Amino acid sequence: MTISSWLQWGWYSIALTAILLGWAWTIVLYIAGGRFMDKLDQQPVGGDDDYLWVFLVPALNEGVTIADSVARLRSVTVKNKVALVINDGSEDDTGEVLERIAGPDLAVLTRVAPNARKGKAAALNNALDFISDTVLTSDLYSHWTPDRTIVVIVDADGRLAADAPSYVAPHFANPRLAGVQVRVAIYNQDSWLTRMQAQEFKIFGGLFQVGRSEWGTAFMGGNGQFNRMSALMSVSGPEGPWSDFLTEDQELGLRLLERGWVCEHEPRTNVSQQGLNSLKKLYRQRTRWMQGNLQVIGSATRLYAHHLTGLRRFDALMTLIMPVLQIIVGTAVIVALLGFAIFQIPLFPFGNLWALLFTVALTFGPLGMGVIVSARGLGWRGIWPVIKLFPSYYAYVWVMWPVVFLGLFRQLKGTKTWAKTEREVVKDPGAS
Amino acid sequence: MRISAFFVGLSAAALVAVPISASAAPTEEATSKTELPYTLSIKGANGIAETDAQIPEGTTPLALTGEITSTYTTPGTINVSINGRSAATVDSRTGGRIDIPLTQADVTEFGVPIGLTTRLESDKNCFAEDNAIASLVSASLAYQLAAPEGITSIGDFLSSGIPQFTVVVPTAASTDAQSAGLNAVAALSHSYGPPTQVSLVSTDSPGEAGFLSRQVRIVEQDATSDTSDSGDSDSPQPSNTISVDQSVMTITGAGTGLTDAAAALSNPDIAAITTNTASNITDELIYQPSPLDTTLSGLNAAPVHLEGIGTQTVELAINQPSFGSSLDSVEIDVTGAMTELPTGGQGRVDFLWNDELIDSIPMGMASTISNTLKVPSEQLRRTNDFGISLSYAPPGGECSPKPLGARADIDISTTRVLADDGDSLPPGFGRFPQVFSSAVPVTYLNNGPTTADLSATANLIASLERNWPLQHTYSIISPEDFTKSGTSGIAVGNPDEQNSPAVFTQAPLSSTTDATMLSSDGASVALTSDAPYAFLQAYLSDDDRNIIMLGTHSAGNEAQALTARDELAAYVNSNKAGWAVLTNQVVTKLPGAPIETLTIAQPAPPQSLGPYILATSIVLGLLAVLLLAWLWRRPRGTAPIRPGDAASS
Repeated sequence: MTISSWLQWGWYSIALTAILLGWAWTIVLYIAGGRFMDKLDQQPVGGDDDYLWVFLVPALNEGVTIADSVARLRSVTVKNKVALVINDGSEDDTGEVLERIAGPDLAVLTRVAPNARKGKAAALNNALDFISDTVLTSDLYSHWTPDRTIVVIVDADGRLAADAPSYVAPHFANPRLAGVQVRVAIYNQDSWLTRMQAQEFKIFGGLFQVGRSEWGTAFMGGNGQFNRMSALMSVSGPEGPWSDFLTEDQELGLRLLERGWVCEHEPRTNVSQQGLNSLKKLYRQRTRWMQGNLQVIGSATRLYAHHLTGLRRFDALMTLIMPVLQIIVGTAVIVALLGFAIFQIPLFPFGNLWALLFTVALTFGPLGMGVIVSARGLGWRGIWPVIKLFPSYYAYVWVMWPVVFLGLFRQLKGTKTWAKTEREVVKDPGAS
Repeated sequence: MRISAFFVGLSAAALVAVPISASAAPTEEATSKTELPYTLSIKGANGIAETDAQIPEGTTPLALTGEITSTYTTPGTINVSINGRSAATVDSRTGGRIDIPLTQADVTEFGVPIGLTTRLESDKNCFAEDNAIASLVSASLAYQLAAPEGITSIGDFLSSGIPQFTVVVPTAASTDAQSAGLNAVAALSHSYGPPTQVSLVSTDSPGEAGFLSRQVRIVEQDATSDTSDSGDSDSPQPSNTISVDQSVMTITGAGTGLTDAAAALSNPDIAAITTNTASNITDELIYQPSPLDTTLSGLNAAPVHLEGIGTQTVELAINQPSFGSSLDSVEIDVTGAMTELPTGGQGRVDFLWNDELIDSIPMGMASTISNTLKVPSEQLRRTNDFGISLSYAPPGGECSPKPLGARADIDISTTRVLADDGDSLPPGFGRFPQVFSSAVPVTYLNNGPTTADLSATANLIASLERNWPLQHTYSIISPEDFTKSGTSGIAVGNPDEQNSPAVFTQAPLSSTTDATMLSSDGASVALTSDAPYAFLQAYLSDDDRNIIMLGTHSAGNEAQALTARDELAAYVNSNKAGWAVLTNQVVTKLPGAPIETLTIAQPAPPQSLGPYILATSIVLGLLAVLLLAWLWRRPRGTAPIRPGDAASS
């Protein structure tokens, strides 16, 4: 037993533990998600009139999509609502478009230099102050308290389902609930890449988010994120509740959990957004997200909180370290492929049936579970779609796999600047 | 007795020179020469060495020539004695050539005794020449030949000092006859030792034999034919007959009778036969390995008397082949006596194993020697020198003028040697021949043996049987029977991946394995597949048998590969040390290239995962416990009001 052999064994153990942990937790989330869905089925829809819904739309050069976004928000069937567009120093015709579509249900917060283009977090914080100082002090809305005011973040390319508030509102009956993230859908599924992105969100929401909702630790995702204003205020820092993280929503969610709030996912309604048809753009986006996830790991100390214990703390920890597990597993895959290519080390233990079955289960099991989620509720009819989808989605996962290392590289390099995702022209404004 | 002479000082055998006329055709000259069985050397101021040079019976010694080399620095002389008489003296510091006339009176029943001693001027430093060595090198004893007509009996034929024997087996011989040939080689090689060369040819036209190059011919008799002297067909047929006609001995018989007669050639009783014919010779070869609990005298050690001043050393051979098995450890319960140490004197008795000190007794008031010496496995070789050294300085510390010396005697009849079975040596040539049982199977993997196969096998056997106290019997069997035998043995040929039993395809060098070879300096050696070569390998099979395999890689040129193989086998037999010249596990020979000794790079033994799994389990368990503890721990201090609690209260 040499140091080298111990190191090899250590790395092997770490990789295997990461794989087994991820797989096991996926199974746990699947089961928990099933229980949460059962509860949701019992939950009534409605009660949205009890809240003031303030839809925040950060807009930076969103002239292409902003009119559509505002139109859709106006079509949301809720009694008490305000659409607040944050024109964050746009240089295109965003301002003009907003002026053209002005109305009493549309508020525009225009940020100008030097207080513009300081990032989405700054824009949202500014917006929250605006709500607090301007909206809730106006005659129209002064009777609404922050506890009854729901701040909804909708990206400029987002299309919130018209009945979304009626599904979200019952969640807020729980006074401890700080936020609800609705399912994200892709409305331009006209290519393999966008269809796979849609599937990705379906799995994320349908497996991981609903599972976490069982313990109130669902992820806050930004677009389609509903937050109780008082909750936001309770975790506000000097600048506001949103901080300067690449994935500010995830970090916000962590602070909410730390404070003792619970967060849930609502899979029965959705916000649609634009999928990216360009692999390059998609890589940029996901690399940014990956880097953001790695950034948030630095806030792991927040898990040690009075009101975040037991299984909730564990799940929040798993969410935080998921990028690390992905890096470990990704590295193990590289090592395995190199071992196969150079040293002819077999990738699968064909000599032992049980070992082979176990390895195959480890390789395909977690992904299989995710794909199965997409057929939830379809019964036997869901089998064929799952079988058809599996190879395609499996290929998509491997295509996107390098972003794990790209994000790690950027994080290690300390690169923090990112250009925002470019929008594509909306082909069919009427489609959802 | 000629055999016992080889036990003393066997470990000092030098591997120099090639025996005269080893493979040359026999020549009839008026005189001939023989070498000493090993280089005679002495060490230290009190060194003494003796040996017997063998010359054929009936011959007349003429002269002993050679050169004495010396590293002594003290003035004095180095003396050569012949049969006890002082025959030559050279300066101790310079050495010199010797040319000693010999007469018939110098010949004893054991040969011509030759001794080497030194006599130095007294030196105040008692240990002045402890490391000095003098050797008689290039020694050659010339003798007058006798006429072959003088060989009139079996005893004459098997006289000592014959430089060469050739065993002749007919080309169409049966397996029994072939086995007999191999056993004749074994017996002669065992009996004569170096510098006698024994080989085998498979031919129907053996050629002329000579006084110095005698032939033993195997003749297979039909079991129904009458070979009895009486010619009476009603007499029971003799199982075998040995007859001598000058330089040719013929062994006639059938079946195992041939083997019995052939193997018996080493029997002193056979060498004592004064007639030229003998029949019904049974194999009375007594395979008597030393018991694992024996004494030094049981190992034929010479009495140990160390006496004098300075350092006196004697070395006794404790060799694994003497025990007929591989050993794992040896313990020696030494008993003896030594003189008491006078006041002011210094002395000790050291016990060495292969020149490594394993124990030491200071001389004192007590005179008894009673020590238990444990030799661990890692120090146990095939041949081992058990050294006993007496070092003594008289009171005053000066050894001039020469004072009274000390004495230490080891009682060889009560000094016990206790050995344990096991394997102190890794698989390889070093395990032979001690891993052989009394009967050794020989098999041919490619429907042999051909005449060349038989000759090559005989060379291996001759080298294996030389120098060791036990003689083995060899029988040719099929590869399948070899597998069933379950014993260690010899295989000749190339294992076939499809048809050969697994015990052969497991060999490191075979068509089915891909062993990594290492040269003597540890560099990796690639045995190319596009060049013919021969190999000799010794390996341990999966069923724990030690197997010698002689084979070839033909690469499309079988003739060249076989030539290399035959040269390789001849090389092994051509050395005085015989099999002991081989080290490690593999020797290869490419045509026209020198012999290369290789080691098989042992694959790392499969690591037991137990410790790793245990360590991982412990670490994971600890982490799990810590995690569980952490999951429910809360920070110190007052907990902030949980959201919703204030609203609901």
